[in-house]
Amino acid sequence: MSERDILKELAGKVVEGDEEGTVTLCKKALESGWSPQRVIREGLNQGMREAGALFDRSEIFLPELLLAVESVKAGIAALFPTSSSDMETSEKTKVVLGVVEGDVHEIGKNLVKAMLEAEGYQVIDLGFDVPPRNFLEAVSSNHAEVLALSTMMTTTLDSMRRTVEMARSLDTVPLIVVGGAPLNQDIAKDLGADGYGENAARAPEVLRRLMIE
Amino acid sequence: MSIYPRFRGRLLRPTPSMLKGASRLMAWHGKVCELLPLERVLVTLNHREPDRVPALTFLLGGARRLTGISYRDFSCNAQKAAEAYLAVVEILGGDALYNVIDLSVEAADFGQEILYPAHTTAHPDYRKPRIRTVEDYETLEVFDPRKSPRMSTVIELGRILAKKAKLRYPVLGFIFGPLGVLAMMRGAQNLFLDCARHPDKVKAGLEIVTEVLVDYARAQCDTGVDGVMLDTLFASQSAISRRLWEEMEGPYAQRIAEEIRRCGALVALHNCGRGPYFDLQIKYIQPVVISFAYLPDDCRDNRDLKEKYGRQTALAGYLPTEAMVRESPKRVMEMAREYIQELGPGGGFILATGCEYPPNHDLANAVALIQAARKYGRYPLRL
Repeated sequence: MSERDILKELAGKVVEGDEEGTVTLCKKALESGWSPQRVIREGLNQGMREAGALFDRSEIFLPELLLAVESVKAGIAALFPTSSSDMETSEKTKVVLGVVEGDVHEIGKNLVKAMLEAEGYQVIDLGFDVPPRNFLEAVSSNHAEVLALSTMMTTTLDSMRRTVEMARSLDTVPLIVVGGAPLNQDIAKDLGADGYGENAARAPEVLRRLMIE
Repeated sequence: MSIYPRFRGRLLRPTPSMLKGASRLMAWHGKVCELLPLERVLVTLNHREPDRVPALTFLLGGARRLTGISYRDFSCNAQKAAEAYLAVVEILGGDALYNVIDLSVEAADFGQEILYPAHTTAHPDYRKPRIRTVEDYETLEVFDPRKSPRMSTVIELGRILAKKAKLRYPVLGFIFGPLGVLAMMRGAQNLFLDCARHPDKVKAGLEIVTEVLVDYARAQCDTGVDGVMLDTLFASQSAISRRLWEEMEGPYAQRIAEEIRRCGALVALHNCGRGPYFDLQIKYIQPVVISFAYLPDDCRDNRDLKEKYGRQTALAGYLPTEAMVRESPKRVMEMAREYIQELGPGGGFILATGCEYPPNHDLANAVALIQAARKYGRYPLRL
């Protein structure tokens, strides 16, 4: 089996959410002498991208996408058995991501994280119910280029607005993107955000577009 | 005490065929004078044209602001919540009363810790999930919802509303679907993964939850509410596949719906997910009305929706939450007019928000929704 075939099969295992198969192929790739970075980039992340595209077209749904995320995690753990994947982090665009204060819904945020990591971003995940000052501290201390905020409730839109306003007062203002059920493009604009992501699968595209602009 | 008389412990309610016959008379009556909200809704649910399109704001947590009570009182005090809901129809208008509190009610009584924030809806403390591992599904226990803290509050709320409504307003009970209840105790992400990896464990939990929810349905019906609304959020493209929903929730939701019908009450459905599976939900639940926030997965537009499902069930919707947050009342009225024109002909349509009215938002758009039904919804519609 050629290198290309193995990477293609690995991507397929991620799409299928087959953790065991993903781990087996990752180990096989390592044994063949390939760099873990390449396996991640061309195998695991490619699979995640394909899964994201299927999700965006409603051909797969949350459980299947979550299984794909779990497969990627298992694959990375197999590639870096003794430590976390400290690969080329200095070159990556840093994104501070979290669910705003008062909100505890984090599936969307977790999927955004997986999709962005698959595209090579370094994501600093602050979790859910995050106060505005924690976002700002994380942006400053990590020199993050992007602040990504999520909420699923209308009652926490004020919290999101407050976070955006405070981020705008930083010395170096990051690109601010928002997403979540009660939002649309217009509301995102009203909140003062630079961009809006309709769903997790589209998050990388939104960032790519904003960074070009 | 219910408004309906009892015979051998059971409420004597009008049968569906009696309601159908009555709706025919009411529809005729509505041509010459204004109907009561109960009559208007009844005619609509029987797919006839009443005097005008009925309207519902789904103002839930926001109702607390009309009587100045705290969110916690709204969540936990039946009398105060009832006063708030009665204030909604008295002050803003609307054609039905409902006893929805929030989606954490059922999970709370299964032992899930709940947080009661001052300015937003009560919700589970996801840092302390009741179901920590897949083994915990089987540790859930059956209990009597009449004696559990939060479900008994909702039952009492239904009892007060049914008594106060006095055959003027229809009163709807509410039950979160079994899969939703598990999500409140496990976290949706873990639940979805469990459905894929350990379906039998999840089903063990569903059996226990459903047994309690069936009894809960019985208890709510016994208060004299006219119907009970089931919320099957996960039957949509926002959540799980059609196949998985049929396996993991359809049959369980069916048992609850059958119990509601056996008690003589109407079965309503709410689903605010994107691309809801109307056909599957109708197959398992057979609701007389579906409240929804997005077009079904198999419909292109409103005309298609009306043609495909307009005779099978009444439709309640579906002004977007985003519009309630951002648009002007004038724009909301224009949007409402479009919905009325596309979904209203022939009856079977209730103008409503797609999901809960934003609880802390200006109420002007709720007023706009009600006004739109009065202004543009009068039958025969001017198309």
